[in-house]
Amino acid sequence: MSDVRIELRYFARVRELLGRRADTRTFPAGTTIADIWRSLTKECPSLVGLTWKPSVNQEYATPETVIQDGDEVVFIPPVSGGTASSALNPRPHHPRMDTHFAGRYER
Amino acid sequence: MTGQPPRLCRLTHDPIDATELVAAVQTVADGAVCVFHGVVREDSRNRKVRFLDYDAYPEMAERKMHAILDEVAVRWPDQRAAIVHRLGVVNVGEASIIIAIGSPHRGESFDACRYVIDRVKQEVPIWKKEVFTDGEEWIEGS
Repeated sequence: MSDVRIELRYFARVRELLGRRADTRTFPAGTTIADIWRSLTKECPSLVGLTWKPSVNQEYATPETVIQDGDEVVFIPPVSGGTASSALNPRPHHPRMDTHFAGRYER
Repeated sequence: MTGQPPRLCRLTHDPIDATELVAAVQTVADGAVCVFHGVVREDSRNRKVRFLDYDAYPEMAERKMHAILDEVAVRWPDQRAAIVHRLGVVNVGEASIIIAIGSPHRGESFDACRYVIDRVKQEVPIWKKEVFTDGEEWIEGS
């Protein structure tokens, strides 16, 4: 099994806490997105507790997703959202969005 | 009328011109153009906002905005929609997003416009930081 090389890009709060916009990193084959987040939180403990959902190659994914060589991975903080009630979901926050979010992967 | 106008769907660092969106969606078949402006308000949870600073994952944001317009085309085949979203500093009173819908009839234009703004808020990776007179804070949707 060979290593996989991926591009990580950082936005919003994640970018500010890490102090940079992107990294190219190499991980062992079989590494998941949750594993990468754990490695980032070891490097930058102030990331612990942030809520995010991942994207891989510009599509939403899950933390269990195994990365492939050449992937572009982003830990997407909750989007601007807003608090207006919605025609799609008449709740202040969108359940669909909530289920997309991975919760907290600080461990 | 023949042919569809080219789709207007983009991010910009400049003030948004609503007339450009109207021109992009309106055809002679339309009886209604519905335009939504999302604007920056001064007061946020009892703090005074100086401006908002929008950040985006630009490639994915534009891809998701196009996907939302594709959804509109499926749900409302006789309507056209346009979206322009600001990035960077947006001052109080300015629009951070404008959506326009061109439609044969008014009722469905309101429905489509509401649909588009709600989907943008759900799906499009754009974040806003509120910058106050005494600090700043990323606003998160959940």
